[in-house]
Amino acid sequence: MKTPTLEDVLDAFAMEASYDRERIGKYIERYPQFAADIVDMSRQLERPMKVDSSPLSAEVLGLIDTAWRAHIAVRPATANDPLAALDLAKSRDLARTFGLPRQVITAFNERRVAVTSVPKKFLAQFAAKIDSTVEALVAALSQPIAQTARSYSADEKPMTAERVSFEQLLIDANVPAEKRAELLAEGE
Amino acid sequence: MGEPQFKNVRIEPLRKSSLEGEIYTRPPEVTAELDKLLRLSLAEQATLCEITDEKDANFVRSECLMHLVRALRDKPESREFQRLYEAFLKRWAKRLPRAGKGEAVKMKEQDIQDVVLGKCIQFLAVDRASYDERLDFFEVKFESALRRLLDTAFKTEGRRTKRQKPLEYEEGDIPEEVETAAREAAESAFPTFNLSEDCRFKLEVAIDSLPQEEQTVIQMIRKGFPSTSADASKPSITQALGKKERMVRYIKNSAIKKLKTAMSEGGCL
Repeated sequence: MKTPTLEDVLDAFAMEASYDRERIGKYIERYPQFAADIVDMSRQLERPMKVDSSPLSAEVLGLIDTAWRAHIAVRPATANDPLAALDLAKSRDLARTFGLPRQVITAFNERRVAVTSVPKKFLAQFAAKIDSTVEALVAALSQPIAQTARSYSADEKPMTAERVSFEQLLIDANVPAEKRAELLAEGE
Repeated sequence: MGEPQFKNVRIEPLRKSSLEGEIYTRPPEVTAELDKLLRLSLAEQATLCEITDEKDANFVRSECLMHLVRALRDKPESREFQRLYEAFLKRWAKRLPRAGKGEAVKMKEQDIQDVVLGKCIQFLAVDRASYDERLDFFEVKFESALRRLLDTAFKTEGRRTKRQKPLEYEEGDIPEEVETAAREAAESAFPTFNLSEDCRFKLEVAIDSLPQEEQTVIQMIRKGFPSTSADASKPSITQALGKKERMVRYIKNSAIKKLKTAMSEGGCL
């Protein structure tokens, strides 16, 4: 598990139900290197938030209007994307159905598998399980790994993960050889 | 008892994990309010979300408004979607700092407002394109999440003393007479009780103007932390700051002396 950063710790602290001495004390004990920041944050979090009752400026209203137009122009991930509905629970179910480690399904969800390396038989079964077609699934898997969302995130670099073959994915997930052979077999 | 009029409403669970690896959940009152709201039409939801008076019985809490906007992430443009989106951004904008009477730190409020409002717009766009877990915080505790964002923006703007700034207090010998003077000046109970609202505000302003370490010590005193503790499992001010007891005492006395001066000048003592 990665070591929490100061931002991680302060985010978590902010979500606590209260910022009393006991809660602050627990965080200080667990993250002594951030003790002073945690204490300072507790003060900020308990300050009443002032709500400005005066009308918003024309500039802010204009900004909101512009933001709406840009927002609606964003292509939703779920539009024609059969993988968009694959949340944690569905991924788990799918992994169980195929008898595979969940990381294999996650790789599909993240489009990290080279679609041309996946046997048509498996693609057909996968598509059927997510109520989609092979064509839509192939299209989704062919999407770039660096998703549309990344271009909006000024704080993050785009993902540059490489795609791997289906066989390599199964090997990396420690799928037994016999099971791999079964999954990699073409045919009906 | 008759059948329920509506089917069960499904509220999409959050995805963000805590530091302990548990998925965050919305407070029960947020879930209960969402359950009612999601049974209404979008137009009805938008009408309620446009209520800005928090004292209005129909005021929709911000955590719920956040969810209603996100729940439309894969929907096409509609008048109701626009109303909800704009209601949310307006609510956000009205909670951003503006220069005004009694502001503790004179700063570029417009810059902070632009940055934080821009972050909101960015997060919503990312969330529409996929799912932005950062917004989960706003469905759990909206104001705390916004406070965090503001705090980061303030620090980025350099308006709050960063922890990297050279410490005002260095370990070493504090002249006895200096420590005594600070202690004598600070003698009296910490001026927190029986303060009017105006004086409580002035106290917070005064604390804001203290050096960072004095602010930290004052906050720990207010929370009831001891200066020192023989029990290693019970955090104390000396442990939190990594300073010796004598230094903590000096910082405390120095802070209280300044606060007393400020409060006296403000007509509160």
